[in-house]
Amino acid sequence: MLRFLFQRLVVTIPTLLVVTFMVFMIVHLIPGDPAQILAGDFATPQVVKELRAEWGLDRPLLVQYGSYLKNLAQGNLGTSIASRRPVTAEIADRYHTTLSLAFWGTLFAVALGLTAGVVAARKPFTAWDYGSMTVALVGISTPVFWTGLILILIFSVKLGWLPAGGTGSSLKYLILPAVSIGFFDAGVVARQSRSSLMEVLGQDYVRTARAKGLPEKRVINKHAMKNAIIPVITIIGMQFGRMLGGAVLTESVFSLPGLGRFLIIAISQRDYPVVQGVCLVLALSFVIINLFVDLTYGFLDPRIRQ
Amino acid sequence: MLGRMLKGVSGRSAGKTIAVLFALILILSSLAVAGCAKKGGEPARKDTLIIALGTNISTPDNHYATGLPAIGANSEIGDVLFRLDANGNPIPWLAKSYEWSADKKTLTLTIRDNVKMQDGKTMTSEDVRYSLDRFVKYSIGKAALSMVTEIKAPDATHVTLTMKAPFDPLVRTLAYTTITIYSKASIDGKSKEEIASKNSPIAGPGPYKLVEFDPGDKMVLDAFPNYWAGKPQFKRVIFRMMPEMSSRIMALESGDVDLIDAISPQEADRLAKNSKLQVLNPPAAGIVRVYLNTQKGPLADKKVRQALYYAIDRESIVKNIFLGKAEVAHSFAPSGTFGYTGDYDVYKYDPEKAKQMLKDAGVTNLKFTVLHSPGRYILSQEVLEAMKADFAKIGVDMTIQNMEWGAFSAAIKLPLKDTKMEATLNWWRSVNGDADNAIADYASKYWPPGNNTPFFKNDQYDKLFDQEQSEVDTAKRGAELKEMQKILMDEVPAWVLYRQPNLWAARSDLQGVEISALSCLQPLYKASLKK
Repeated sequence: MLRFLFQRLVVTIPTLLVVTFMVFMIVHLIPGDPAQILAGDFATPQVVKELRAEWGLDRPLLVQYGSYLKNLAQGNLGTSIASRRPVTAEIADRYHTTLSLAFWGTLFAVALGLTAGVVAARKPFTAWDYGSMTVALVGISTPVFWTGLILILIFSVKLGWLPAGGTGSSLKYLILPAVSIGFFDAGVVARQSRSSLMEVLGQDYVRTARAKGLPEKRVINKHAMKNAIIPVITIIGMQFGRMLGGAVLTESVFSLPGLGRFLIIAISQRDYPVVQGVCLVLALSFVIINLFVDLTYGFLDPRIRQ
Repeated sequence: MLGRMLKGVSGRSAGKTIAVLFALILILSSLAVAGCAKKGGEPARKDTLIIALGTNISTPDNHYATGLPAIGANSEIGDVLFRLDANGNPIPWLAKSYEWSADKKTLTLTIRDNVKMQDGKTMTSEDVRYSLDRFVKYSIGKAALSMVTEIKAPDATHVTLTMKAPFDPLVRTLAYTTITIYSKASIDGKSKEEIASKNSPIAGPGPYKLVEFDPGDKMVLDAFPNYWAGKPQFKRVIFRMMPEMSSRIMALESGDVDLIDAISPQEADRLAKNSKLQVLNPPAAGIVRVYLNTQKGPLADKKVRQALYYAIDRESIVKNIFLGKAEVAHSFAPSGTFGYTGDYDVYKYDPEKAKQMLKDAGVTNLKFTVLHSPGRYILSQEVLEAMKADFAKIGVDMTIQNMEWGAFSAAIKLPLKDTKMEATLNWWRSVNGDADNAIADYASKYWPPGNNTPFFKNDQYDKLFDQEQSEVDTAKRGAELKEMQKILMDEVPAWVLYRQPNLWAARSDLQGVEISALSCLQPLYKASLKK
């Protein structure tokens, strides 16, 4: 197991290097000058020139990349062009918001999706099945921002129960965003868990377990779910990673200062150090999530461990 | 029901699932309730003014901040030397008076006495000198004071600004919100990173002092009871950064926030019908226009530019797209600024005349492309669509090329030999209540990468510009500014369209909020809730 872990971590380094190179080149090659954008409509060419020199943007691209890698090796992600704060501090301020959103969103998605999926698989082609899958379809088909706005309209504007957005010390600020983002994923989890469980329930070993007179609870929990859950965990892992990087709509609708919104603003301002830093952190998060998912497979299925 | 449903599915194991779910809900609820408890020392909601802005506040330091609403928020911490009244005239603020030297190259400011600052110090002329010097040397907006060559504090109450040549609008320019005065002791020797950090030490003579700065989320300010102009009414002001208009509006409707900026005319109409809310639309200093390439391409011919101007139904744009909340612009400078004249706008909507003028100019099958960055200016896409329809009526084909803002900014800054720009929708303003600031960029020395986007060149205009910039006689300068606007309206380097609305919404009992023409909140010390 340790060897497996070590091998995976070693592979991570070139992956992240490729990510840094690609992101660096892409953000620098798209048209637009951060100095001009940030200096705004009022700036004179002289101010723009000075800003470019201050930020080292007047140097050749490869020199800039080398300098970036050198700083990166020392744990320095650079300084934000827009805010003039260290990128590490900027990301740290926002990462917990995005992580909390992804965590609670995933929890909601798993609770709702798994329940709906199991119900549908156990009672296929009945009203329970059709009802659950309709909810799943609505979840998948409804745009996240629309769900968010409707939730705000009902629970904030009409009922006044929950805040319309922003952050605070209480989890109440995360309930609506988590439900909003989790509703989509709940649909995905429900459909995946239904098909996966239905397939497993048709296997010979399940028939054998039933023929031996095992209680249905034991058949589902002990035998069927263990195998059925593996593809569902893959989906959950992918959705969790997607939420970390792609929660921009939810973060915008609920005015949450998360990484997704931060990244979009940084791209529009051509804030190169921030774009590079956020992409690197997100890539690293994806690698860790995938690693975690792989380890979970091993935990659930001893054959994979071997 | 869910319990029954699951029990039917998998017996007791489903019961366990429900138990876990309920436990989760309980934990969530208890945490939520615990979070509702107010922290000790936090002002009550009625004593707190919460403002949601669509702009991100990237730093509390106005010398490095960008985005006018963000600059307005930061100006609660610092303060300015002058403010502008509704007619664009300077009102003494931290500077209680000023005096010009005979050659009008030196301005002497007398600083208000006994102005307390949030770090406990009393403001001196050195604080003013230091702040101005810092702005001139480092600020992104430093071009506003580029004519100033030397700043001195000869004694405790006076500051002198010296220029190479006279610049009559200097006093008005000092009212520009970003030229903020801070306590030197609070920021001197500290890095930009430290000043932009969560625990920023920045302090000034403004009505509210910085308590907490969370980039991308909120800025919390507490009342500074010793504010020189009067004790602030609210104990706390919180600026929340909410980029989505619909989210800001719903936060206002739900009572989460008290004041919001940047709403559309359509939403303003809807909110105005709500008795618990009010809509504010103070005059705006920004004019939306379509710049035209005057040197090459299909619009290089002055007669074509004039003809097409007649084909644009600006009244209809204002009435139907902005629901009457914008104002047709009649000059390149905003009305109300010093030196403004709207007398030379002859381009009343007349498609027949436009058609005839094109025919006289021998122009047929005219096609051109307008560059546009959607979402930057409110309803600009709809405006261009309306113009496209107007032009189609006279047989002209206008293509709208939408671009992301960064790419757009780069495209309009290319020099003449490289540019492919034929026309571009953009916005311009006067930051100092003076027409000079709105029209100076049409001098030919400012061709791109400068701000003369249409590559406009007119010898008479350039001559007048040089005269006006160094004119010591204010009345004469006013006349020169009018003459310059006359040339612009005749040469049409841009189709000036309308003054953008400056729409805000607030709870109906909020009073004492002043908003500048640049969408900057003014010091909020008078803001309060009606009893």
